[in-house]
Amino acid sequence: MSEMKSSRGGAPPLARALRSTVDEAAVRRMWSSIERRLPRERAVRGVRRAWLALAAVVVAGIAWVASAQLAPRHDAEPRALVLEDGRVFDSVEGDIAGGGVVGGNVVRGNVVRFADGSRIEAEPGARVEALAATPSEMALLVRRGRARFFVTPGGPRRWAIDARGVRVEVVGTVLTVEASERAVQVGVEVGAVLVRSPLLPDGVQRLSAGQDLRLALEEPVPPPGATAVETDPEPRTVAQPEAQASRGRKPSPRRQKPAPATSIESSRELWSRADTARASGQSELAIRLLEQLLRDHPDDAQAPLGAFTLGTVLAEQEQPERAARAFRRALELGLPSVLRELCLRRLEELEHDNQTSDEGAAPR
Amino acid sequence: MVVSIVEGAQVVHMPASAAVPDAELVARAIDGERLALHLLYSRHVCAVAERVTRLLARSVEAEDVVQDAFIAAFRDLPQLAERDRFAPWLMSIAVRQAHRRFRRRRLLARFGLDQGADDAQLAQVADPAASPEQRAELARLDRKLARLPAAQRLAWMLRHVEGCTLDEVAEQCGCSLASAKRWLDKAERQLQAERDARAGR
Repeated sequence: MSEMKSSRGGAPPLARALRSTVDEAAVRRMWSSIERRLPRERAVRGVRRAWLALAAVVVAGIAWVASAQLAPRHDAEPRALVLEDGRVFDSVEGDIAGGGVVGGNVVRGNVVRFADGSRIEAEPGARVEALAATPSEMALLVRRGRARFFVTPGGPRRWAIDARGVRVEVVGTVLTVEASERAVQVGVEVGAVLVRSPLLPDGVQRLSAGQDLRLALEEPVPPPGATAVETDPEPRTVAQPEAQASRGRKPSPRRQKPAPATSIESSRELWSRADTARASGQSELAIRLLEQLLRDHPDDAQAPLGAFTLGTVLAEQEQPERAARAFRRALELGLPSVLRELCLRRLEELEHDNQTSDEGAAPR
Repeated sequence: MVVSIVEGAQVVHMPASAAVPDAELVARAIDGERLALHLLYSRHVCAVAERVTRLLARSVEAEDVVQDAFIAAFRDLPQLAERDRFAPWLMSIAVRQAHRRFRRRRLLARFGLDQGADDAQLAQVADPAASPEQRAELARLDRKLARLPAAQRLAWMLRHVEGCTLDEVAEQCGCSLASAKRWLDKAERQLQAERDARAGR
C-alpha cells in the first residue's frame, strides 16, 4: 500500500487534513469482487455480442426480404414503359418484306419488344402507334392492319388499345386487334379483355380466352342523292357482308339493299335514345325505339344488337313471345359470336318457360 | 523483487510493479495477463478509493463505485490511446461514476428512497490530529456542500479538497474547461453567500 499515491503527487491542501479512508481489507474485498465480476463481465459481453450478432443477422434477413419484395414494386412504379433498349416507343409499321419500323428504326420481324417483356407483333401493312406511355397507362392505336399483343401480366400499368373508336382494355393477356375500314376484330388467346364501344349493346363487352369479337363499322355515308339528306358527320353502322361470310351465312338480298337515304332518324340517334330510355326505366319507350331501329335500319350493323337488346327488354317486361321473336331476329341478323351463345340460352329459357306455362294451363 | 503468480498451469514472473510503467501493464493486461490487471489495481486503488469516498461521503457506495470504475477501465483498456495516462483516465472514469451515483442518490432522496447514511464526510474523515475548531469548520463545509448541485460539488471538491488543476477538474468531470470554471464559480459564490449569511452581513 506504500505505492498507492494520489495521481496528483503532492498532498492537496484540504486532503492534507484528512485521514485515509481505505484499508487493506477494503482493498482485498474490492479486488475479490472485481475478480469475480471480470469473467462474468466477459461472459456477459460474450452473450451480448452473440445477441448483437444474432440481431444483426435477423435485421439483415428482414432487410433482405423487404428489399426483395419491395424492389420490384419500386422499379415498376415510377417509370413509363419503354422499349427493351430504353427508347421510347413511337410507332411500328409492319413492312411487307417482314421488317418493322419503330421510330424511324427498322425492327426485324415486325416485333416490338418492351422492357417488361411485353411485345407487339405487327403484321405486314399494319401500323400501331403509341398514344400515351405513362407509369400507369400504355395507350396504343391500331391505325390499320392486324397486330398481336403480348402483355406481361402483373405490371403496374393498364394497356388500352384503340382501333377506330373501339377501345380494348387489357390487364395481362395475348390478344389480336385488327382494324380495317369496315370492322374492328378483337381476338383473345390468353387472359381477358374489356372491349368498349358505342356499337356494343351496353357499351362494353368482356372477352375471355378463345373468344373473339367483330364489330362491323358503318359504311361511309353515301353521297347526297336526289333527295335532301340530313347528313350525319359521324360514322354510320351497316351490316358487313364479310362479317356474315365469316359466320358462314349468306347475305340476304334484303340486307344488300343500300341504306335508305331519307330524313328518318339515324340509327345512332335511335340507339342513343333507346339506351337513355332503358336506363331511365322507360322500357316501353325503349322497346318502341328499338323496334323502330329494326324497322327503319334493318341493314344497320347495330340491328342484330338492337334485336338482342329488344329481346332482353321484352323479357324483362315479361313478354316472352315477343322477346323470343326478337332473339330469333337477332340470330337471323347475324349476332356477334360472343352474344350468340347468350342469345340462344335466353331463347331456350323462354321456350322452356313457354312450354311449362302451356303444360300448366292444359288441364284447365 | 519478483512477483510470481500461478495462472492455471502457467507461471508468470514479473518484476515489482513499481518498476513496470503503467503503459506496459496496460499492454500486458490487454493481452489477457491477469497479473497485470492486479498490479494496475494495486497501484491505483487507494487514490481512486480515497477520492471517491471523499466525493460521495459514503464508504459503501464508494466501494461499489471503485469496483465499477475498475471493471469499466479493464473492459475498455483496448480503447485507451495513451497507455501511459492510465491513472488520470481511470480517475476520470471513477469521478464520472461517482457523479452518476451522486445524481441517483439525489433522485432517490427526492422520493424519500435514499436509505444510505453519510459516514465519510469531511468532518468524519478528518485527521485525528485535527483540532475541534477544524472539525467544526469541516462539518459546516459538509453541510454547505450538501446543498450544492452535484456537478458544482464535485468540481469544487476536486479543485479545493483534492487539489486538482482546472484542467484536471475538467477532464475528470468530463466537461469543458469553461464548464468547469463556471461550476466552480457558482459553487464558490454560493458558499461565499452562506458564509456571508452566517456572518450576518
